[in-house]
Amino acid sequence: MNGILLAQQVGDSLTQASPAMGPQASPTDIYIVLVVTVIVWLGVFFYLVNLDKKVNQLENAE
Amino acid sequence: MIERTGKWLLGVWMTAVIAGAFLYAPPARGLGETTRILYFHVPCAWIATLAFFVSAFYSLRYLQKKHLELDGRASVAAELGLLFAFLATVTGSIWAKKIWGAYWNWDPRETSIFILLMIYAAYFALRGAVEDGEQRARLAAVYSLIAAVTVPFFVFVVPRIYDSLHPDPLVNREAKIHMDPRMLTVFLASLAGFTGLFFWVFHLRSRVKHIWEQKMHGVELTGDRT
Repeated sequence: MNGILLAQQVGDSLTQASPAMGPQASPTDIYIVLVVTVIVWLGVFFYLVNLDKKVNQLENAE
Repeated sequence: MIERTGKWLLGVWMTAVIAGAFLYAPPARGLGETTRILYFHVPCAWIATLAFFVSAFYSLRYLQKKHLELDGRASVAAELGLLFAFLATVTGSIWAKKIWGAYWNWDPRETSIFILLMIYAAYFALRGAVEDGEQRARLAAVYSLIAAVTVPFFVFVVPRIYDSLHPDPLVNREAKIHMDPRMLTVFLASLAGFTGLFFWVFHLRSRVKHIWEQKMHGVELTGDRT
């Protein structure tokens, strides 16, 4: 029963926004995580672009 | 030219999705900042599902046309499906530790994805166990089709039958969408971006596999290239 109530509470939590942040979170923390995630994505993206280019060259060389 | 533009567009799109996930979408009540996993974890699970169906599609095409290149694509799709299912499992597990207090709880959704991981790991065990290319392709194609039948059951049916602590999926049990509009916007944009990323990597990996087979085994694969 408790599990069902908790599931309902967690499910409902997705429907409403809350401006409150965790007590230990600094307002700038989110920007640090954002910058790290963007850097990881751009690294993967440019790697894929480069790999794509090399595969093209291999295919054209055949 | 269109393909090249598409790739750069995807780069910008996904960067915008990441920025939106952290700066535009609000945190959900009760989940706080951990809500942001939604924009990365759920698309991983979606891509795994999509990839398993793509694998089944190419397996069916292989059984119809008997072109080894089609088997290669089925294998690549299953490989990416397994990768993204693994990523969904790991990211979900990290989130579970924060919200539920343990990395693994055998929640219906966790159990489902674990079984799916086992099913598709067995697909590669099967491929590795058969040496003859034609026979391997035929067996793997049949297995992939049977495995794909179980995917909707484990992804969509089981978590809705049993009570789960997992947050509601996008479309809940009452067949309604309950999500803040800003969260929904970023979430759908992320799903679209991840889908584009999947097809790009799938195409790239298929081409690499094609070249590899030609160089290493001298196999001239036949079949239409897309």
